[in-house]
Amino acid sequence: MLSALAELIVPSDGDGPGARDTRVAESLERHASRSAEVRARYARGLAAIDLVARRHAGSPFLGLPPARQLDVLGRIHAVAERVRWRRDASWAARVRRRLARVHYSVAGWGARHGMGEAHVFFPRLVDDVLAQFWTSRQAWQWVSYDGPPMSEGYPDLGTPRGA
Amino acid sequence: MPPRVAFRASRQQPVGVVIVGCGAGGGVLAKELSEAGLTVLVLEAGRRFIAGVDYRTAEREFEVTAPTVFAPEPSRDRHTCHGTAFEVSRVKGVGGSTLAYLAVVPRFHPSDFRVRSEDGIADDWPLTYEELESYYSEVEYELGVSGPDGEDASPFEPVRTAPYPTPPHEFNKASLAIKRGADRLGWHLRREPLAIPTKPWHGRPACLRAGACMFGCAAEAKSSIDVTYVPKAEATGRVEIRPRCVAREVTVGDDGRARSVVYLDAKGQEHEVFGRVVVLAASAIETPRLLVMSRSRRFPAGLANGSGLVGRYFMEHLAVVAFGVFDERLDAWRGTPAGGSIQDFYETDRPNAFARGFTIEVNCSRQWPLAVARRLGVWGASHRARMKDVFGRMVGLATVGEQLPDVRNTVELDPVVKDSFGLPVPRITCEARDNDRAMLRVIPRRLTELLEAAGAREIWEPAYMPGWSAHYLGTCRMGRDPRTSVVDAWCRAHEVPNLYVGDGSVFVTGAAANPALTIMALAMRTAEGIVRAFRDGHA
Repeated sequence: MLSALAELIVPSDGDGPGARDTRVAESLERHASRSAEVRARYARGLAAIDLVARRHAGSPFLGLPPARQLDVLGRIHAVAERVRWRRDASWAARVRRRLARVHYSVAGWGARHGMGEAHVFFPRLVDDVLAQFWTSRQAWQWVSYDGPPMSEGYPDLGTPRGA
Repeated sequence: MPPRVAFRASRQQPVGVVIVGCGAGGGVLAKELSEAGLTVLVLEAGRRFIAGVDYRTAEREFEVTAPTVFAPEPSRDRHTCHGTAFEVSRVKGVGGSTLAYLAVVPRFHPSDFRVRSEDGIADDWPLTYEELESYYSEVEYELGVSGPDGEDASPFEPVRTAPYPTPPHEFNKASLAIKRGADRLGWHLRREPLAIPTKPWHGRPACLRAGACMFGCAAEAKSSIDVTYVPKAEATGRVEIRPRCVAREVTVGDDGRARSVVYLDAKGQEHEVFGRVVVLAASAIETPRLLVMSRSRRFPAGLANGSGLVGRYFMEHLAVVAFGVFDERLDAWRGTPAGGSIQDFYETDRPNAFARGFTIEVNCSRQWPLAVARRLGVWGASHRARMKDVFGRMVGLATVGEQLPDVRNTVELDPVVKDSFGLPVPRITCEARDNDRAMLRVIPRRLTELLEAAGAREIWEPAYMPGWSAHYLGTCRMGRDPRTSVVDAWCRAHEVPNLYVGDGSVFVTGAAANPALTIMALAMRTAEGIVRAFRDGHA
């Protein structure tokens, strides 16, 4: 399931590498295996996404076609955005956000059917996938990034390193 | 390993000077005082970092691992906010926030020291630019500051008696794109003074232009305090730095003089060190916190707080951040993250609805793949396409806007929340007040104007980021009158003759310039005052 999620977050296609090409899921599994806390968080989060899929699409997540899987993730993403902290929010928006947060909190009414856990887990999963993908050699090559910064630095500011 | 020291502080044998904090102020004080023959003990809350070992900017995962190096310790470094959320950005460690600074070290302008006289707002400093000028020069030569002289200098540069020690950095492609816009508008984008030498300096190498200054310079080219002042201080054999030691109280004797500093080590064990002079250089957040925690019968509102002004007039710089996306590749990550500054709006301009002004800085930091991917905030099929579209073509602008001192902006002790040592955490109140808000209405327009003139095809809406500047100032202000200030012109507490403040707390106003150089220059001058007090038998 992790592999399917990673591929939906950064898809591979003919235009360039994606999560599958850069083995993001394997890296995340290795990352999770190093800490019981992270492992537990992933287990709870994946189960919650699966629960949302069953509740809203009538099937386990992996049983859905990719378009329906995206619908499920889009629904979770929308909730996460609704409760996300924003510095410049108006007073009314802050109240709405606070109410939504209570509604979707793990103990709240809206938390049933997995959304309470899923809307917290999914943004972190996106961040983890991006972190794995964008620190890969293939991704760097695809966008022509000549890092890391050290130990060489950039003797020539106008020309890519090694060009 | 630091050299062995030739003294041991004890109750029977007090050290000459106890300094709390080893950042821009404390490090300078330690060197200057020890070179003058005094014994110095420095208590630093954070750890000692070793450039070649701790910094992680050579790793492929550096965007994930490097930011963890200076990250706050959640249980030790907590704070709370009253009102607007305020993101505290500071580093605890030997070197303080200079470990992570972008090393932008402009001088303040002469007008900054007399805003009451010139603009009728806030208060004048009890000293002038001219009195500080020679200290500015000395610090610049210690750091090997690079900057433009002659025709390339900023027309707004204050009068200098010595040229910059090393030549300016060259502009990268991102800065040149912004310069194109500035030139069209008739604004003056110039290389800013950087504490990053462009040639080998005092045994350190010239800058490698790696662009990761905020994560610590693995080459030790950036002139942070730990690689400049600290080694020289320790070389005297009269300085001992104790890392991971958190001061919790400055005690006073029956004579009303500071007597000792009580601190907690990494294991939470309590110790006490005695000094003839105590200097607090722990930042504009920690210094007032420590003073207020040092309540006693003689000082019921906190040490040296008879005026009630300890913790008041907290300021930071108004940081508005904007991004522009260009058609051409800019590859902004190559070269120093600081990419030049514009000071055309620095001084008070009568037609404005606000007093004082702001500096615009080109900010090339965090243009690496993961940073840009996170900034985009999209995932799925559109993510990679969007990355391909903007990556390498983006550059940031940020402002250093002068927030005026306001007595309602404060650092206090939180009445409820405690840190891991059981000490009350700082509670920060920092609101943009009338003058600040008027300035904040103009800044986004100027940033947008600049990006448009530079030819950006996409401009991200400028956002005000409270706390982001990391320049925290003004909670133990200087002044001649003990009723309206905490320390005098030599940064000595009005009420406690052997207590000094050596950090940005003493600033009367914040100016529109990065404060590190002014903190260092003031610390040097304060050291001179302390040495004189010892010589005259007042210490």
